Parts: sequence; structure tokens; C-alpha cells
Amino acid sequence: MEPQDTHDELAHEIAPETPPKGPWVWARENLFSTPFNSVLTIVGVIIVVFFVRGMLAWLFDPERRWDAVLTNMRFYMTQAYHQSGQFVRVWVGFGAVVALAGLSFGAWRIGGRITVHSLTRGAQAAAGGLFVAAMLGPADVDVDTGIPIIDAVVEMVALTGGRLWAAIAAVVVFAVAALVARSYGPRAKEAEVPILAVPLVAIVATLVALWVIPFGRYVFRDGQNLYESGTVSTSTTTPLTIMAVLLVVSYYAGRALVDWVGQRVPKAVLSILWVLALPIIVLVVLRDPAFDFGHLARVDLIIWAVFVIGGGLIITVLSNPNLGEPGRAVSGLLLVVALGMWAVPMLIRIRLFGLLLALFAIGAPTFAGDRQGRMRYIGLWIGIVTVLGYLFAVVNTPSTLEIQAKSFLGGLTLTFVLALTSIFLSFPLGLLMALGRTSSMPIFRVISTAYIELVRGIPFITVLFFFDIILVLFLPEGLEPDSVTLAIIAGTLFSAAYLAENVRGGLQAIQTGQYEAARAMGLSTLQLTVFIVLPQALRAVIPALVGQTIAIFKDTSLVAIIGLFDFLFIADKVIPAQTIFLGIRLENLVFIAAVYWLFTFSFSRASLRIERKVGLGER
Amino acid sequence: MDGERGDIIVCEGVKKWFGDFQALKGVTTSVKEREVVVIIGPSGSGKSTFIRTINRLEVHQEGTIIVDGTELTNDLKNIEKIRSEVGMVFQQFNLFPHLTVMQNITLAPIWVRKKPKAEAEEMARALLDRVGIPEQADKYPGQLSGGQQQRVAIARSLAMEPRIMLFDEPTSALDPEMIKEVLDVMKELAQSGMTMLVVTHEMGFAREVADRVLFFDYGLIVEEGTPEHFFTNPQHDRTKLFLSQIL
Repeated sequence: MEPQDTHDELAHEIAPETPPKGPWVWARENLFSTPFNSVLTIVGVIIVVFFVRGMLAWLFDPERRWDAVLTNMRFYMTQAYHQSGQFVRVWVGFGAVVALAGLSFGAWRIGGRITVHSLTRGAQAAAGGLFVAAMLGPADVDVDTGIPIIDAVVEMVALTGGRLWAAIAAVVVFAVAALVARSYGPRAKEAEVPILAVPLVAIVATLVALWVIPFGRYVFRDGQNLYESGTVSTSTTTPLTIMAVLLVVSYYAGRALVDWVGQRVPKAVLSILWVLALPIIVLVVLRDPAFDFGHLARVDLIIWAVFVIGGGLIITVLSNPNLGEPGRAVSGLLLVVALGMWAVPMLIRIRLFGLLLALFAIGAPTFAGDRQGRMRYIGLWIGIVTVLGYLFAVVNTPSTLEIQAKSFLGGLTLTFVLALTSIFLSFPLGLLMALGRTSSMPIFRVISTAYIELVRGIPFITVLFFFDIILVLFLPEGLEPDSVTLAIIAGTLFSAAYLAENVRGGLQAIQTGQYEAARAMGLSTLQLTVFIVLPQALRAVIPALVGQTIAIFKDTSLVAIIGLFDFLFIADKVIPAQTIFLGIRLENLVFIAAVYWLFTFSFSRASLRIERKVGLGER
Repeated sequence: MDGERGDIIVCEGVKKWFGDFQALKGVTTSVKEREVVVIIGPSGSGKSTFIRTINRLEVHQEGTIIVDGTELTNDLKNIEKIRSEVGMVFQQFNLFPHLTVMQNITLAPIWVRKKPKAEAEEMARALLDRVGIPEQADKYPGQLSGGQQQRVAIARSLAMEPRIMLFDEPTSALDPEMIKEVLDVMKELAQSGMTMLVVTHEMGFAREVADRVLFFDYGLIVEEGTPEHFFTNPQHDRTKLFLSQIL
């Protein structure tokens, strides 16, 4: 009765190989196929040439003060870290991220292999681009024959100075690539090298350049910014070298780990570590909390123990699937009590844990099946309470009031903290809002719709102002979050509204048959949402979610208006006010534009990878 | 038919409206345990709506439906109980595209029946074997042919160990060469003693497997009887017209 697939055994004729086309044939077929296309091609080339010439002339003008960017590199990354002598904390935080990245790259085996053919082709294309750039770069000879076109051509062809070096470098790279390709011969299309060798070479080259090229730096000392001339080899290049070594070592460690204990455990642990990395780096590594151990023992540990033991017992009882209706009633009662706790003055932590416990209790009969599932569910509860309890203890130290977040967060670090935290926190909120808006319960629908439409109609700057200036007036006395916290709250609430709309698009794309099949199998609404609806909806909107992530990343530059020293503010206002770089603004803006572009471009590339991986569109 | 078999589904005057349009105009029938009932009729006659009311994918507004002794009401607990005992196979398969075949089949046993994963997977393998595609367990639905997908859908329903199986035009979305492989599975299922309600246009299947045939038109059962009676000696004019059009 089973018809076996026999397609594979059927012989296929191999398609005839198309002979490679020469460049002239290619150009005639693609660029000059009709007179109109020829005109378009020529006009396009002229526009590109003018644009590139203008850009290069500006970038390599001797009047450009790129040293304003280089000198302030530390400033750009961290602004003024409050403890100049403990700058190593910044490096430790960065090192933790680098090590995690290396381990994850290794564990997930990021980066496949690339054929020698495509590698040499790529190198030759890059060399060609460099050569063209050298030709178009600003000339340092001035020819005057009286005929402008001839002047321009002669200036372009007469390669001198830096242009000559660039041209020579291009020719050398081209020739080396050609030699490598020739030495491989026809095998070049099969022979492969690891794709990660390419960034490795780039990192090593950058490090060598850093060791060789000297430049001064600005430091924050004795409450003011001081300029120190000389090299940065000791303060920056050494740690950067350590970071590069760490990256490579942890990459191989990650691979070895996966080979040794299998994929499951390392991947799960690394995922959890990534989630915990940001709060711990910011709150512990960068801020240096001063614990009050008496308070820790009297309050923190006791609250933790009560919720771990008491909550664990409640969940154990309620996850018994045979409990039925009384169980649901108890969970509902817990939720009412937990919500009521927000009306009574007590520690925020107790209210939050109470609410979480109620949610866990409601989910218990749904997700805790057999004994093993129940154990895993209780483990999850204990893990969450422990992590949250630890973070609360870390925030709630006497040093919090003295060391405001904006004193140790600035520059690119601040940009990343704001962007990542807002994205991470707005995700669950946006999901809930999207589900609420499509819910059949009117109360959720009205609340979600009102919130989304309200927030989407307000500019982000207004939201920021609201939180920074007006919200503080409403808050009870003693609760004065600093500007960074307020900016994170504002960013979270703002982007949640947009995320909700993106996810709603994904929810609408799910066919009714999916709901019917799940319901016909007896899945509850919660199970239907978690197992069937959300995975499909999120997959369908990955491009939109990445777009939102990129938007948040760039929108963080607006926090300058509430007095935070973010990446853009430093380039736009701070550096142009330094005595020796007075008024140098454009160079700095070009630099940060390049950095923003680099990161957002990486996001969108990563998103393409994820899309391919989850098989979007191949249903 | 032996009298000791009880009625597992009892429908009494079931009426259903979509807005102003009345899809069911008072359907009264009952199905005995281990009986195979085939429902035929022109499109728009209410036959799909009828079997969808039996696991409450459609809510009937008047009349009563009693499945396995439980009356279908708005009580959520009753509905969940009945749904886990009534399997359903859809025209469009409705497999979950983001889950493998194995995950499609084990999802409900693990999360609704609270079966240990290993046990659920063992049963899933046995079921895939039964529907003839044991080697496809780790593929995604999109990688299978229509006939294979529908057989996975049948295995998925059987994994809940239902007492009743509903089939809503299971072969209508299939290419002709794949219809047989699905019908074969259904025949085997019928022979094993499963109670089945099948909406279909496959008259050969009805003639061969059905214990009873119901003919629906304009939201009513116009005629019912054994296949011999139905195909050789139809009483009603509309039945005669329908049969003359499709046979």
C-alpha cells in the first residue's frame, strides 16, 4: 500500500554547462542592449563617478581632522567612566560579551566554508573597487592645458601620493588572488577554507595597525577631560589584543565543548547566559554594588526562601492534572490576591513575585504533565525567583543612590544598553498587546487597542520628555528613577506598541484551519497560543521585528534631549567643544554614521540567516 | 445489526444559522458504536457544518447533540472532554507546518493527555507504521505529498485514542493518484471497528465501507439507508437527481 519514492533512482541528464561570457559580451547584453539603456548606463556611471569623487575628495582632504575621532575613541565607547582607575571594569564587561560570543559561535558552528574560487573572486572584486577609488580620489597635481576634460582625465590617470599606494595595493591584492586561483587550477571551485578565516585576518590586520599607528587620547580625570598625547598602545591596544585572543580561544572552546558534551546543554546554558549578561554587566561589573550584608540576610534571603519553598509547594500541588476545577479556582484566587497586593504598600519585589507565582499557578495544569515535566516547571520557577531576587539585591544596595546610571553609562555602551534592554523588555509586552488586540475578550481588546493607537500617535521625543519630567511628579516620594531607567521604560513602552502591530500582522496570517485542528485535538487556548499560534506568527514577521529592532537602535540617539551622553551627543556636542578640536563636527558625524550603519547592517544580515534557518517560505 | 451496541452520537433537531442563512434545519439522527456513516450531498447542503457541530467547531443554536453520554453545551470542560475523544480529519489536512511529523502527532498526547514523551513517541511510530509512512517521522509537513500529509493527519487524530473519528472531505484536496492511499487507510480503520462519520464524494468508498449512508440537501437529511438501498433503489427525487449527476 505504500508507494515508495523512486524519483531519486531515475536517471537525470546533466544540464549543459553554459560557457563563461567575456566582459564585453556581458556588458553588451546587460548595459548596452538598446540605445536607451546605453544612455541610462552612461548617465548612471557619470552620477556615480561624481558622487564618489566628491566623497573621496572630502574624506581625504588634508584639512579633515580624523584625529578628533581617533583621540576620542574611549570617550565614544564609554563616555566618562566615573572610576578612571577602575577602567578595567569596562574591559571585563566587554570581555564577558566577547567570550560569550566566541563560545556561541563555536557551539552553534557559525560560519561555514567558502570555496577558494569565491574567495579569490571576492578579493579581486575588492581590489578592483580599490583601484577605481584610487583613480577617482582627489588629485594632488594640478594640470592646466586649457581644456577642462583633458585636465580631469590627466589628473585622474596621474596617480600620485596616497592614490599611488592605494593603486599599488589594489594591483598586488589582485595579482596575489590571481596567483592563488591559478595554483589551485580547476580545483579552486571545490577546495574550501573556513569562512571565519576572513574576519580573523581582518582582526589581526586591525590589531597590527593599532600597534603601529600612534594617537593621543582624552581621559576623564580629577573631574575634567584631559588630553594626553602619545600612543594608546598600553591602555587600549593591549586589552584589545587580549579580547581578540579571547575571541579565538573561546570559539575553539565552544566547539570542543559541543563535541564533548553534545549540543543541548551548552546551547541552553549559553542562551540563559546571554539573557543574564546585560543586567549583570551593567549592574555588577560596571557599577560595583556595595552590598549591605545585614540587609541581605534579613530581607533578601528570607523573601527568596519563602517564595522558593512556598511557591514551589503551591505549584507542586496545583500542577496535579487530576485536581480539575478546585485547582483552577485556587489559581484564580491567587491572581486576585496578587493583584490586590499592588494596592497595599509593600516591597515591589513581593508584589512582583506574587504576581509571577499566580501566573505560574494558572499555567501549572497546562504545562506540567508527567513527573519530569512537573520537576522542570518547578525548576523554572526557582530559577526565575533566584535570578530576579539576585538582580533586586544588586540594584537595592546603598551604592545605588550614590552612583547614578548615567555616571557610568555613556557613549556606545549606553546606546547598546538602552537598545538591548528596550528590545528585550518590549518583546513580551508587545506579544501580550498583540494577543490582547486580537483577543475575543472585549476588555483586553479595548485596553490594547487604546494603548497601541495612543503610543503610535506620539513622537518618541514627547514620550521621553513625559517620562523624564512629568512622570517623576506622579511617582511616590523616594522613588526617583534616574534618567537611564526612565529612558529604558520609555523606549520599552514605545516600541512595544510597534512590535504589537507587527506581531498582529503575523497572527492574521495564520489560517483558521490551524486553530480548528488544534481545538479539535483538545488543546486549551493557552496551549494553542504557545505551541501553534505564536511560533508561526513570529516566524512570519521576522523581517518586521528586525526592522523594529533597527529602529529602536537608532532611536536611542534621541535620549540626548534628556541629558544623557549617548553616542550621537558625544559626536555632535561634546567633541566639537573640546579645546583642540573646536568645531570639528562633520568628521565625527561621518564616523558615528559608519558605526550605526555597520551594526544595523549586521542585524539585517543576521535576520536573513535566521529567516533561512527557520525555513520561511518553504512550507 | 446487533442490538447491544448503544448509540454513541444522538442528534435531535439540530439547527444552525450563519447570520440569516440557515445551514441546518433540524437534523435528527443517531450513530451507533462501531458504525461507519457516510454523508453525501451537494455542496452547501450542510453536511460539513453538521459534522463540525459534533465536536463543536460550529456551535448549533437549537436542538441537542449528545456525544458519548455528554451533552454539548457551552460548558468548557464538556467541550474539552469531547474534543479529546473525537478525532477530526480536515479537507486541507491542517498539519502544523512549523512542527515535524513526529511533533505534530505527539503534541496533543503530551500536553492534553499528559503522556510521557517517550511513550507518546513510541505510539506515534506505531501509528505512522499503521498509515504506511514510518520513514517520514522527522520531516516537516511541507516536505510531504498531499496523500502523505493526510495520512499524518489521520495518525495525529488517532494518537489521542479517540472513540469517534470525523472526516470532513478527506480526499477532496488530493491529486487523483493519492486518493487511494488515503482511502485504504480509512478502510483499514473502519475494519478495525472505529466509529466513523465521513463526509465524502467518493461513492466507491461509501458503497464498500459504509454501514449507512445519509443524503443531505438544504440542511436536512433527505434520505438515509444502507449503501445497497441507497445506490440501487433511492426513493427521493433529489437523491435520484444527485446520483444521476455524479455517477
